[in-house]
Amino acid sequence: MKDIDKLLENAPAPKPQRVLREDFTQRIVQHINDTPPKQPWNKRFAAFFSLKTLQKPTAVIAIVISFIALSGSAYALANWPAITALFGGEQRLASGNHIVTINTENCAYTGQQDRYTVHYEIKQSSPLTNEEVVNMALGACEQSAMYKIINPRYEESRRPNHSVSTVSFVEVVALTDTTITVTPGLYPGSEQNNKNTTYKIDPTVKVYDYNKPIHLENIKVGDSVSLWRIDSRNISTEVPDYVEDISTMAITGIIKLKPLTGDPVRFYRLLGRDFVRTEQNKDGSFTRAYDFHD
Amino acid sequence: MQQQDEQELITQSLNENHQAYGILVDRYKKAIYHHCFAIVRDEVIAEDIAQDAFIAAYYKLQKYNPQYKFSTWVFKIATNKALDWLKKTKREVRVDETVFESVPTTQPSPLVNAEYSELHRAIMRLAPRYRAVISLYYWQGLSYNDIAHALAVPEGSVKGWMRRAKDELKKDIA
Repeated sequence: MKDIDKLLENAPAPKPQRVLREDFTQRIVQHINDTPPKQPWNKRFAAFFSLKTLQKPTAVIAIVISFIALSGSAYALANWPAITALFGGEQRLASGNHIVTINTENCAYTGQQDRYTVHYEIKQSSPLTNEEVVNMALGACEQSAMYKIINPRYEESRRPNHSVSTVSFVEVVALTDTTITVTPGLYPGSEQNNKNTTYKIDPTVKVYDYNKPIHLENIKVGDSVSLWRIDSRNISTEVPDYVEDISTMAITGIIKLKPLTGDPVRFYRLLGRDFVRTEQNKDGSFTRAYDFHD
Repeated sequence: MQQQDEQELITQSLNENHQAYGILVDRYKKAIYHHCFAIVRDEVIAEDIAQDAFIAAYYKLQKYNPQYKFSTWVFKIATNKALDWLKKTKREVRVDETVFESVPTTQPSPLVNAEYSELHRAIMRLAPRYRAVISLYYWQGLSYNDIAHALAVPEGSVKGWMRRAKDELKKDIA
């Protein structure tokens, strides 16, 4: 009789011979990018911090965070705030790692409205400079703040029986009354083969400068924008065999954004690997909010 | 503590930051794909189910319980989808001999490799839910508690299924 326990413990998992498609993640990001959830982000955010899963003190914090998040919608209707992330100092740790302090203002990423100080612990082995860390954090702040502007506009572009998708953080390369050409998007997979793309502009297009309605002629080459597209073929992007055809896409909404000056893409790539957020204790020491994942 | 950077990424995902969600996908895509493959034993279907599971997880993210790891949450969705697929298609899992050629060649001897191949074939003859439990416990490293959460059954049921699965394996490859 064979020892099944021992056999199971030692047997390797059956491995598929075929590796995952290279664009596996990109296809998922593309899908959720094109089909945002119907529920507003602030409700989802509040739901995530569901009170039943939290202890009392945490629940109080969650209520405060939710309040801040909900006020974010009203905040989005105001003028574009100045977002800053400034180097606030460095502190060496016995481990060889070091802490970078960043003073932020209007950083939606931190969930704070005004001024907030964040601390990141940087791995000793990381080649990142403090300036790079600050720049990445600034990018995360800017990006989150812009989503607060973009998301509420999404509903405006909905049309009966037409799928709406978005392309955000692209730069205008060329513009006429009827067409707009933009650079590839910020997210991998959110663009066509990493090339510039030209779209037809729908005659009913709505154009905003952040949150203020403007005319199409106010959009200039070089502007950073977010676009709303509908597929005029009257088909859903959710059907299994959906193939995007740029020639049938029409732009129904354009929001002029403040160009990103920081690097959010790199921030999320290196978060947890090269640096982690820490909380400062009363005695001045630091505790990691989470550990490095490597 | 260890998973809190994930919670930060999840919070960002809930804030429509798709880049953050892409990082979570990158972290677990291989494990989810392999787990789906262990259940359906078809590479193309396994990849489709894995992709579908990540998309579904994103849209259901508000229901995610932060007491569990994010990966447990996706394993749960992927397992259900894989089992549903087998049920819907009423498909008998074909035990493809060539699949077992992929058993790593670093094993100590051909004899041991043959034993593992025999075990894999026997596992594929088990009921799908037993197969899922074995994959989650032995190959994905989930605890009984996590598996119970992933399969939405009491922990006692998971242990019972594991016991029965082992009994069947013993008879099959005795």
